[in-house]
Amino acid sequence: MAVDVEPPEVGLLADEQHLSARGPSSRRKVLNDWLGRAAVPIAWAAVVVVFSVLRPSTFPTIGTFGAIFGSEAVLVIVTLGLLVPLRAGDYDLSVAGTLTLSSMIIGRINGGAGVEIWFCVAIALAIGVGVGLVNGFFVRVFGINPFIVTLGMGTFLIGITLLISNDQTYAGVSVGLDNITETDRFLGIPLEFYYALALCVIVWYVFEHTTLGRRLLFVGSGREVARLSGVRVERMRVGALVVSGFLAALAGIFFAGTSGAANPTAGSFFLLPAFAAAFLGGTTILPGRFNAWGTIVAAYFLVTGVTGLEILGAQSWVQTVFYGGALVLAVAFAQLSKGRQSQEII
Amino acid sequence: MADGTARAGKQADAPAGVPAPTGGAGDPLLEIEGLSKSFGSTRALDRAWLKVMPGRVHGLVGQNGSGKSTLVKVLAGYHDPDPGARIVIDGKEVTHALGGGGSRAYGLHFVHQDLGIVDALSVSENLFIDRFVGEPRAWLRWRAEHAKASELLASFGVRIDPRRKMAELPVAVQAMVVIVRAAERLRVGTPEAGHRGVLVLDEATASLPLAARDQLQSVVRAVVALGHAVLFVSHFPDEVLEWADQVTVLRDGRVVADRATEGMAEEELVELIIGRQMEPHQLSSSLASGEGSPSSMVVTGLQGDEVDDLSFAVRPGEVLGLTGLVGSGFDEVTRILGGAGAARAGEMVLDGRRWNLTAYSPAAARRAGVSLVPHDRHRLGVAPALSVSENISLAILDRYRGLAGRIQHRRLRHEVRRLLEDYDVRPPDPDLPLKSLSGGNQQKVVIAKAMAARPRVLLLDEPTNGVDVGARSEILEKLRDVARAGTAVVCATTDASQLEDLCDRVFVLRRGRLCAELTGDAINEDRIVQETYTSVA
Repeated sequence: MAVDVEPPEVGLLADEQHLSARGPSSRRKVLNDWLGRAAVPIAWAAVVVVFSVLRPSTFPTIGTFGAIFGSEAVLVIVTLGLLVPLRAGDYDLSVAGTLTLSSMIIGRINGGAGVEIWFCVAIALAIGVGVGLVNGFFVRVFGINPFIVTLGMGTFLIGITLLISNDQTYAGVSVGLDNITETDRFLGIPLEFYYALALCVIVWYVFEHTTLGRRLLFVGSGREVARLSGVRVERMRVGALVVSGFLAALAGIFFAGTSGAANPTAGSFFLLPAFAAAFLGGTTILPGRFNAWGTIVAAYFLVTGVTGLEILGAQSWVQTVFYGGALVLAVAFAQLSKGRQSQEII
Repeated sequence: MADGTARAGKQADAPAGVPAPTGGAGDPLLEIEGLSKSFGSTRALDRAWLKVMPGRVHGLVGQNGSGKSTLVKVLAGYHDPDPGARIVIDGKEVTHALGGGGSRAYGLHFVHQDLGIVDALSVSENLFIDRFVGEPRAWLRWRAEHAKASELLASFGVRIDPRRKMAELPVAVQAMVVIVRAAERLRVGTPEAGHRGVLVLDEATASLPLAARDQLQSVVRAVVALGHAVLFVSHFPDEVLEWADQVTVLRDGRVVADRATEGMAEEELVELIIGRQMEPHQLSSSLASGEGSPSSMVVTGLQGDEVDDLSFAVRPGEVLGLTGLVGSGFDEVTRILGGAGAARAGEMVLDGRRWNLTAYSPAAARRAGVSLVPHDRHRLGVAPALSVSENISLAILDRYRGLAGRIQHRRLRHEVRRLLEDYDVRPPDPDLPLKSLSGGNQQKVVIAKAMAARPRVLLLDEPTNGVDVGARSEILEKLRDVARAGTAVVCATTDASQLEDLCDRVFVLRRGRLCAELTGDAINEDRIVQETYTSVA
């Protein structure tokens, strides 16, 4: 089974025209380019305006924005982690399982058994790294497609979570963890938003400004080219899976802190929004590549849409429909413009 | 045109072509008349003709560009011939398109160099892949399938267990199974043609080891003994003489000879193929002529899948050309030395360092000071979706690595601009996606990328593949500059004129071994082509 991770390719159109005519059409091209990059941020702003007009008393409030930015920081962190293997051309479908298990570790042994929180955090993070290493082991040693390995791993981890939780929700997670994630605020927004923002800066910096990030890009966009140029491709792929495992575990810790409890199934609902945000993010800011700022904008665009619809009175099914539809549409738009392009390459 | 006058008139019209004979003994199984095929203004085939008799192996030879492969592609239905051609198979004139399986209905089957087998399946499954024995029953009786396979193979003298996986068999046996499969399809698939047809072996032996060819020949003989005909398309004159009863030679799209192979000398056939007298052959023994300088690259005992015990040396500033027929291993040398292919044995010394080529990698090649321009540009050379700058700088990132792995963008950009200017990449905009460049400019980027690493040795594998004429001459000029600046260059190509333009020395390989070394005036297109098509005892 061949599963390609195709970074969406939007906005790289009409470069030939750009070359031949630097005249009046070039200004239009620049504008088009800019619109392509800014499409998702503009759509986000439009969504905010529409909901503010429709529900002026409930939507544009500190409370709502605090909830959007704060609680959904977990989604942003897990998506930024997912971005690393995607950039290397590999899927990681185990992130939601890792997140769930990590939050349950906190809930079960901190909330349930009262073990010191820092110790629990260390264990959760170590498990995240371990999951990444096991994924990487199967990918590298057996040459299995990561899509399959991580699909199995994700389900496996959810089973382990049910086992250690006995199918119960554990409350009583450390107040300290709750404080530094959700309760303490800066400018009315929970601190965890700023952690996600800081992580975004780090991922952006590594992706765009370091030799490591550049090599990772080639592993995803021209794997054989990278190999021939002396890049240690397999090592990079394993490393990327370890990073996504670690960040998924971190997201799980924040998830437990945000809700003050750990639920054995809630974490699995992050998988689809994370992929939707990563792929939609790949069509914006730096179109054609999975990128950090595009991802954070896309994640908050999706979350704002869902929150607004819920304020309008939509039922809970809307969330699933919205995320699923957004994922397929984002990839479809990317593919549409790619089809137009591939004709000029070959 | 049954008499001599009409023939003479025809001759005047087409001086280089031999007209088709008329009449003769028996009816041919495959008959082609007046087959022309033009691509734009170039005429790949010019009134070509062919008569293949049943029960015979018929050779079809010609050098690259002779129209040989165009003819095969017309038969396979890949190209439509120009109007006026007549193709008759076993007395039935071809009226429908041959493409999309149409040729099969007329009793034509093909075995290509790529055998078209499924490695993971058994011999039986591969034999009956398109039609199992028990069909139209929906279920299979494996015992019957295997028994049938066993019997069928044995009737061609192939004795193997049909339960074995294809992948476990040597490539020669795989080729036999494929030929038996084609013969079986001829029998089953052409009832209206009396269960006989034409099997086209399209360079099917090119990648086989020498020893395997004899075994294969007996299978081919068994096929024609059933009343089929075999059209044997090959690069190797000696092999055609050995296998075929009759041979047709194509040159520049025309049939220049149609002869019985009996009593024909190999030199005679080679002269027909290349169209001129052969020069007296000489094999220079100056294999070590590059060893004069201590900074030469010296390769000893190189052994790969095709290359067989090759040793040579290249001086700084020298351009060494490697050429040969497909399957001769000439292109494997650059792949191995660039770290893209695996060697079975061999050693390389460069700059006083010794490299074991069996434990070698692209990274080792980089450290050794060797850069490769691979021939598959879009898969191995560059990442088309990424920018020109990103592509060029991939191999030199470490030189522009600042604190904490930060890329020193400004210095790197400066270097990239210099390279773009140096290699005359147009437009010289580092931020364009690579795929928006023309093929020629993309190839300049690939070469600039290889040279950015400042290698001691630059390896080229078909460096002007898919490049227009203008860019081609620019690229060759640039490569000469590279050599003049002191880099050793090794260029593997089948393009003889490119070798003439570029090289100081040319090695012609045949079946993995060096068969001729050309220097000085001997490096000309004619001589290179001649050496390529000649075997040396």
